[in-house]
Amino acid sequence: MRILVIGSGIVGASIARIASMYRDLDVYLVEREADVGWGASKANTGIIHPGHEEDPRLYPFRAKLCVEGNRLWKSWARDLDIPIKFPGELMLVFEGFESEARRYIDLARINGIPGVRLLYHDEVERMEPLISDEAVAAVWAPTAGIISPIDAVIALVENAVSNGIKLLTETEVKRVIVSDGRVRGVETNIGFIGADIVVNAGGIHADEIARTVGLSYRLKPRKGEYILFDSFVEAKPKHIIHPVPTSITKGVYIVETVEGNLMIGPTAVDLLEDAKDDTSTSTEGLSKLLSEASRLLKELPPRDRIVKFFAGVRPEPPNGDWIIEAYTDPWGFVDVAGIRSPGLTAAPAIALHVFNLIRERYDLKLKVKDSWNPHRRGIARIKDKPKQLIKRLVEEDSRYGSIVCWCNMVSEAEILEAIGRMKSIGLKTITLDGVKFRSKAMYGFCQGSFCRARIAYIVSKIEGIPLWDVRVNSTESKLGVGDVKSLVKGGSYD
Amino acid sequence: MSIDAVERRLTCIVCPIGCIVTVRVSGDRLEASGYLCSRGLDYARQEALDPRRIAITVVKVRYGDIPVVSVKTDRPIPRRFVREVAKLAAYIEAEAPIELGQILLEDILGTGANLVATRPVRRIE
Amino acid sequence: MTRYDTIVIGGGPAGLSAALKLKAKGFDSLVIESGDRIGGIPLQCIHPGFGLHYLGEDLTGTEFIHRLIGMVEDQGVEYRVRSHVVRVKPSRTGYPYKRIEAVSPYGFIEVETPILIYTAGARERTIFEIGVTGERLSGVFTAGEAQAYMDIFGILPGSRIVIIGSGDVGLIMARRFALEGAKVEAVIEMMPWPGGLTRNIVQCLLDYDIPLLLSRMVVRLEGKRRVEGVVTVRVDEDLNPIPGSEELIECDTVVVSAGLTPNVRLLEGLGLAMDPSTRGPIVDDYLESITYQGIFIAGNALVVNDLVDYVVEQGESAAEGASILLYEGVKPRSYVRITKGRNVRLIVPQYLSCEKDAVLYMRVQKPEYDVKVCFEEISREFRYPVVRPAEMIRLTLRRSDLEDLRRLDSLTVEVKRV
Repeated sequence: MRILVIGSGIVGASIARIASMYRDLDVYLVEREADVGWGASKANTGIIHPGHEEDPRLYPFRAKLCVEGNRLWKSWARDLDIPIKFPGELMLVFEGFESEARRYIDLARINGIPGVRLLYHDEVERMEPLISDEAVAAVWAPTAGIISPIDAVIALVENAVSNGIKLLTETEVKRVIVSDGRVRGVETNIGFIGADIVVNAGGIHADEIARTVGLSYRLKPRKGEYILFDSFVEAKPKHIIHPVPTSITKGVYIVETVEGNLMIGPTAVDLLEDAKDDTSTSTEGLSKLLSEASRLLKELPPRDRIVKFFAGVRPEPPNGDWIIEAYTDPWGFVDVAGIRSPGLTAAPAIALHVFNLIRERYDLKLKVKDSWNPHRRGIARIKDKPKQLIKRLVEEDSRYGSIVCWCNMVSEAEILEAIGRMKSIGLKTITLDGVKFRSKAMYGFCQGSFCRARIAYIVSKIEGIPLWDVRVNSTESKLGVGDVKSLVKGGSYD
Repeated sequence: MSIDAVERRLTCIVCPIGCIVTVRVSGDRLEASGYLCSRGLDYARQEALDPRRIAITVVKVRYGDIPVVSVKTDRPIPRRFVREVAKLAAYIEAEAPIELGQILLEDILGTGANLVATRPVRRIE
Repeated sequence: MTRYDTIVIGGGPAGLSAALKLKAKGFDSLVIESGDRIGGIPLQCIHPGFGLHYLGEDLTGTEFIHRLIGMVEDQGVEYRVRSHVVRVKPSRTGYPYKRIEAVSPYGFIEVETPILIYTAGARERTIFEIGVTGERLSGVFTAGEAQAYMDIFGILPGSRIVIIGSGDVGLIMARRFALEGAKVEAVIEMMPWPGGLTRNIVQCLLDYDIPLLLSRMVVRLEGKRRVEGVVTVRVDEDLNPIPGSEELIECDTVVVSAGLTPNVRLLEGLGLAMDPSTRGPIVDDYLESITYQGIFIAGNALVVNDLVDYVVEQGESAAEGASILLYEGVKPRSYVRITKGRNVRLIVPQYLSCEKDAVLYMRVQKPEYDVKVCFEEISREFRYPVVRPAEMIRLTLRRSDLEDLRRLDSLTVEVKRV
């Protein structure tokens, strides 16, 4: 029996990990990009939501799976060595919006979320002295967490691959092939891949895939822009901060990422249906973020502490609730689509739910592998490590002492480890973005202007390709155009 | 002044003032205006009649610890040859080790200038 | 625990000249350098314009720095390369010692010193810092990064280039690209005047017919995976975009040359007072931090310079100050603060001891002709036919001029029209 999962975002990767537990299952994870998690998963807020914003009467899936997912991430993150923290969340209440705040406390009770309560200004200020004086109260949710979504995807895929699934990157699914009412496989840019069950976790493009089996829903692309500040800023709240969502604005989040950077976002800009891959930032978006965030805190860090800005596109399903279904016509087609927020939080729960659905609907008799290993270790990093540990690492491998990325203190050993892991999950192309996401090099203030060349050089040596041929952020994007004399030799000037 | 005289405006770079010097050249006659001191006139005359530059570029290196060595002409050469130097440099290859100041090509393009290495390159096998 | 008279963080021209000066005065030092070799940024500067003041010759950056490296080797100055400073903290053995910890492939370095000379240089401002939006694309480089690719790694980053910012590095890279056969579509400058030296405008742009677009800024990158163009917009006198003036320039590569920022993260961590106009530490005329005794700063980590000769001079001044502290144990500690007046963007040092001749480095806010730089309280003025933001003004106040000043607590510098 072969299961093919389309899309290696947080949802597809979680499903692949669950599928990797079972004997006699041949699992394919198919991704159109050069690496995993490059859709909405790499560009979102990274919040593990408590679940008190989900109304089960309106969005049953979201409410149930968010609350479960919040619990599951604790053990998943531990098993998979994913950086995660639970600083708790303060939903700030401004004058005139107290009744909205009550609603979330009610929802917390309905959804069974522990610890959610209303705090008044003095108490909030004691907890978080940076919050605006305008905030009259806050809804405190202690179980809110922060994760690095791209780290999570990478960890899930590494774990799933080590348990026997096969990852196929640079493989774009054109259509699902159905005959006699059953799924037979998918047609891709590299040819036909047979499968008995196809799980559609194609993110923003999931509706296009679903259309090839006759389903007609449409996902609306909604863009969210973010600003990332340096970690070295004074105005950095300890807790997750956001305002009570109102009819006027949903507001923005202010969080400290697991890397310690201050991040503000997202905006919410509805895109045209043909602009699903538009992850461009805009001047308007950035000003909006700064003005929204300045309502929440007494002061924001100065603008010259901005490290970068970026945007992601999230799928907005037609009625707001997720589309999770295992169809019998065609038999074997499973939709996990429109997984908007809180999809990251719910991903482990979605994966378990989807797998149970598959088992029941298709009557699969599955046994867990004896050899299934739930664990995976992250790359050992030397940044912020105690002196003794650094000494030991350098003694064991001198390349730990060779610092390549100066801003973020990443060693050559970590770069090599990142490349090795990319190869071990079966990536065909070693992109610099892939190395960046794994090693955290090129992530600091200089954005790689000092270290990118050296990292690219390491990649070129390992891959046996010329330096200019090293790919940056996709299979098409080369670092350079040729050797330094390639144009004058061609005589192309004048 | 003949009617085929060519008029050009040059920015003097001798001092920070940056006078805009208007130069008219007709045959071997030169008229200039707009300069504040005699250095401006000298500069304008040189630039109008025989502009010269130090040419810089890189040359590929075999067995080097880096793949290219930076080079320059050891004296200013007529400006029109500067691009030619970069082009010519594409067709030569040096072999490490290379010393600072080592001549890689003599009398480049008949200018009398040599192409010299502006950095040392260590040899690696 | 190994102790040195001084530790120098950063083995570029400022650090090396400081170490050489200390050696000449009989003090030992250890230079700690992050890169693979000592020399710093001039190692990738293959253009001339280096050393006219310091060595009396016009050399390329590479030639200049190898001369300096030669002196360092000859004098037996001690240095460690590929060594990255992790931490600077007060020593457990007590004041005035500082402990410096660094990692290197050769092991963990722990040393102590009463004097730290910080010469870690500057970093380039990124595309994000200048507010350019759009997709996250390949084909975007800082000027220094592009320079390293071409002149150290031997590859060409692109073939149709737009350069953002007309600072000297940007102008030099425009010429560099043109020489190697790339088409430089434009150099785009937000200000109404160029950011680089006139010599570079002439020899890097005019020589190669490269357009310089003033009062224009890049607002957005266009493209899917790699840059396909930049959207520019004209700006008014207050640098606000003029609606309707958008213009697309097609290119496959964007080179950002939007200025440098002193690399002072380590010092910020130690709580040194910083000057928002230089983005470097606030120092006295010995180039010692006014808030942290025993830390001297020189070169681009102190203030972004346009000539390597000034960088070297600052390195030597810092070494000079360090040696006084090493000889005498203390240094004068009463200061006069310099206040910036009309058309003064920045000035270093920010405080004067008035105990010695003081070399000042300053920049103006806008270009002006026929001006004098005036220090009113001491009735000193310096005439200049022209001042430009691109060109640092270096001037010296004599000790004799400053003596009366000690009764005051502030000295004002301003640029006046003659």
